Amino acid sequence: MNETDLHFFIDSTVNYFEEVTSEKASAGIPYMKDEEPVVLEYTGIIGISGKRKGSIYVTTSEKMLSSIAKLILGIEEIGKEDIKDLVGEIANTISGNVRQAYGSDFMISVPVVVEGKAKDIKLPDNIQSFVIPITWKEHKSFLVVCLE
Amino acid sequence: MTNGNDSESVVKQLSVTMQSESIKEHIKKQELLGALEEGVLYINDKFEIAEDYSNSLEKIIDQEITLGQSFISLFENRVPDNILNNTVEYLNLMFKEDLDEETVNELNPLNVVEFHFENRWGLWTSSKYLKFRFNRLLRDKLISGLIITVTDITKQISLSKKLEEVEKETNKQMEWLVNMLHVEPPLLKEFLDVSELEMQTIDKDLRGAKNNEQYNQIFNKLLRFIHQLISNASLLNLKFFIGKIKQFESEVRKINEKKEISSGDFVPIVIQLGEVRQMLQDVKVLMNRFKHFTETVRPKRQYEDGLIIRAIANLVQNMSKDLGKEVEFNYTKFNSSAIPYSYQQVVREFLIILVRFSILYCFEKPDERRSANKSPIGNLEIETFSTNRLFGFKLRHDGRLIRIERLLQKSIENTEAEIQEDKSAVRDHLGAEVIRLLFMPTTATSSLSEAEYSQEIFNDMEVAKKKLKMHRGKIKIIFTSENYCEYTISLPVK
Repeated sequence: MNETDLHFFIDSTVNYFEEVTSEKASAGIPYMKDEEPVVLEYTGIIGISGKRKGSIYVTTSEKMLSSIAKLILGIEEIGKEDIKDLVGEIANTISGNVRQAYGSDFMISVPVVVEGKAKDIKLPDNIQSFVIPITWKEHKSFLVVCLE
Repeated sequence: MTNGNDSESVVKQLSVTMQSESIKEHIKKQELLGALEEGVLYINDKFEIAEDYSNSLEKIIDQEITLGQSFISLFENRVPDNILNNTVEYLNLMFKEDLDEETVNELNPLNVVEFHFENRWGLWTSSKYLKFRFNRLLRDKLISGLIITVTDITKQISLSKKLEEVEKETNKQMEWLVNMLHVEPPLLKEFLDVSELEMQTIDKDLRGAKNNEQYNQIFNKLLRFIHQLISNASLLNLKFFIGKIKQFESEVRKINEKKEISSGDFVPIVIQLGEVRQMLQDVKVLMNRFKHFTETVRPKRQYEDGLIIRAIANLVQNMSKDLGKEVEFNYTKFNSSAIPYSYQQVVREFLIILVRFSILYCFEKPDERRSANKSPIGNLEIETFSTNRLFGFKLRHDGRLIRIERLLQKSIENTEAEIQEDKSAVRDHLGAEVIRLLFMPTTATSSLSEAEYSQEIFNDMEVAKKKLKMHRGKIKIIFTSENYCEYTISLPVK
């Protein structure tokens, strides 16, 4: 993976938050993922295959999703389904951006939503993964990019 | 077993059999299809799969086929959209009577295609490389369908890819190996271990950084880490590694020159850091692969003990030459085998730093030494000593001590009154001050490159001092302003 790829993923994620909530998110310094799991309460995963292979996932806390959902839906009572839909939508938006940027040489899967703190998300062993911490308001989430 | 020619003749035979509907021929056709290793199927002009296809087809494409299923649907979620679209266009051309079959076949987008397989989450798990060949089936001189032969060529493709990779990797590894062969394995191992440890520290800092102030601190640490890597790799003369790190250094410097640093600026650094880590990992793998070789020609303990001396001797020689100085290195009283294993690294680090410090600042050029009534060749001496409770080593040199002289002058002026009262106490105080100042970061050198060099030494010294403190070690310095200085470092025996 090169610099442009990583910048692209960071920008599209940060832009999502700003577009949807009108509040900027900030990306922290990316780092290489090691054996330590990077999983919060809700995770949206997208698989990429074709010319280049890998996975991208965004993992967030319930509190963060709940805050965003309140802003989007304009209601106070947020259900589990709304939260799941939202993490799917975040992943879907990233997926859409990837599709747009990478063109038809790539196959991008429908986002999969994982509820609950999984042990870790299995990523291809032979590809270096990068973790990008994203902070929106006081909430922390992570974007994990693993691409050939 | 069938080969390409066999299947072609089978296809031809099938073409014939498909035109005749006799039961006998139908049975023969089924037998043929069952015996084929290749997938063979027939599609009509609507691209629908007809009833006759070989048993191995489902296995090759890892899908169940239903009669009348669209041929194109076999490719959904298996190949990218562009290939899918090209396939539809190509098939349309294949059914055009006025186009030459051979010419159209040159456009076959499925000549070699990567078939992707996903898990239940839609995430890619594996790939197969398949070859699709298309032949027109004529009935009354009109195209009635296409006979398609599918061959799994994964093994061939994987093998050729692997060969290509191995060839590329071998060239790189050969270059590295030639460079690594002259390096003693224990030193190389130590270099890799120390670098990995530093890498982990940087990684930890990157994860913890939150604001601009911390970003600047990380940049400083990164530069120090890079300098240490370059200096350690230079010591072992690992040219391929030095080249890579210098690239990394210029990237870091470029970003460090920016007025405002943001987290995004770290992206190229993180990527390069990943590449450096991978390089270290590859060297480690290469080293382990040649473990047997190195063990076979494994040096004796006595030889291993001499490695530290040789590393220092190389450093003295190279650095003196670079700076136009002449220094004789004397190590007859230095017993490497007396260094406790746990102290080997800290001893080596301190020696390297002190030697570099002495050659850079203290030793004069031959002409200057002559003018000062000294031998034109400087003398650098190291020795070890030990008791029941401690292990120690000394480094002596006969170079000048400009910085210490200045400090002494200043200190003496300030403490003249006290000297009269208690000379020994002041001497102790001065000694401590000199050590403190000697190891304090400074840029008071004659040129920019020296300034950078000195910064590097002092940064190294800071790290070494921390390590010494960690081991509960002590450092003492004895000097005369003109021509003698002795550092004594002692460490408790554990």
